[in-house]
Amino acid sequence: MTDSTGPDDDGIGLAAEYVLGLLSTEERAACDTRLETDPVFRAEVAFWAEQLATLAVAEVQPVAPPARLQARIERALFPDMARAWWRRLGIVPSFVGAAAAAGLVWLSLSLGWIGGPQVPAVPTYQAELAAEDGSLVVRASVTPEAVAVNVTAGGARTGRALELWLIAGEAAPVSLGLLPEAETALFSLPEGLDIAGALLAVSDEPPGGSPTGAPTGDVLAAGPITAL
Amino acid sequence: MSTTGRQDIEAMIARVSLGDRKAFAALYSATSAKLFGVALRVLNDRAEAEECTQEVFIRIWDAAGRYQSNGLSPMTWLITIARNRAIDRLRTRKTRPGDLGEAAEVPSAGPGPEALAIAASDRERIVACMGTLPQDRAEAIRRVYLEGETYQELADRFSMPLNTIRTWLRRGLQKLRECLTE
Repeated sequence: MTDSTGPDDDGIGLAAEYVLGLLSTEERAACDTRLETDPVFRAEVAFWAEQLATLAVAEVQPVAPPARLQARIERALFPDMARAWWRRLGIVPSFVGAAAAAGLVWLSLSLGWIGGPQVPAVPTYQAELAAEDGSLVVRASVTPEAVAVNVTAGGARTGRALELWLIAGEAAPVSLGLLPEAETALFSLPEGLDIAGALLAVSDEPPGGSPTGAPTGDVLAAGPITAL
Repeated sequence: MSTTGRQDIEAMIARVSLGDRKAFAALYSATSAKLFGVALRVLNDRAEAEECTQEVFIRIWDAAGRYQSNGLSPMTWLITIARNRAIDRLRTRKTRPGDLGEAAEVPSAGPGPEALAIAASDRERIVACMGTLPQDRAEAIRRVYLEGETYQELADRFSMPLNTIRTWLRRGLQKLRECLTE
């Protein structure tokens, strides 16, 4: 270089190595100090950062990340947006046909709901939670006191758990508990929840359930609670 | 990226620094494929690249307020965060020490022609200049920047003593710089 205001060869090499991450801890610390006081060195570091990032833009193929990633990031940053990302799943009320209704009766019977001594109410609401690709299907029958669920397809991944959530209105999701390995399970509902129009959802969580009290993993399936 | 220019991305980052979630979503849409691509290239593992990209966007949200003062073009700032995060992960995986720090900590070069937008002409120039280097030297630079290789790994790969490899790579970088500043 003939540019008299430019850095010397050692400065050029160090600046490039700084950006490339090739320096030892001591050399790196020395560069950090130099960056604060030496504008020529600073410009040289910026030069290499620009050039190498440009190389990455030119040569690295863009790859669309999986759709779930954006929701996961927003969930981590904005826990109050929980309701919004349930919505983003595109949940629409689904019509449950006669076969499904028969299934609910079977489910209620098998759980001792209909005619059972402790939970006299017959289910008055239902929900069907299905993953987009059908890899997890959960059917629920709901009374104001309890939710009975039947996992009809899929289950937790190895080493993971499935957690059931209820989201009423704009409120934060309320954990109802972990889905057991057995196909059917009964969850009691906290008092005072407005279940009509609320959502049920299942998220992928670590064993033992969400450590935070809010969903931390991907929402695998969700569906609205509708009147039978 | 083709329809999103430097000024658009700068405006998004500025709005993100004010806590604008819609701007954050727009920035994600405009840049996530590029940043995920970089993480995937470095880490060569989709699950890890996903986690890395999540960390990168959380970092972007937290550090957006410092972007203005660092003097880098917006894509350089974003790519440097993604590349450094991915390489830190790679080195942790290989249980090697060394933290590359954050792009946000690179101080300002001041406004001026160095603060390049990533125009097609800039991309063509760096690719063309890489093409003027001896092939092994260009390969070494790519391996270091995009795959996180160290001097020790380069020495092993190119069968050269460790105390020679540094001079050897620096000579390549010097030549690259001459081509780029011609």
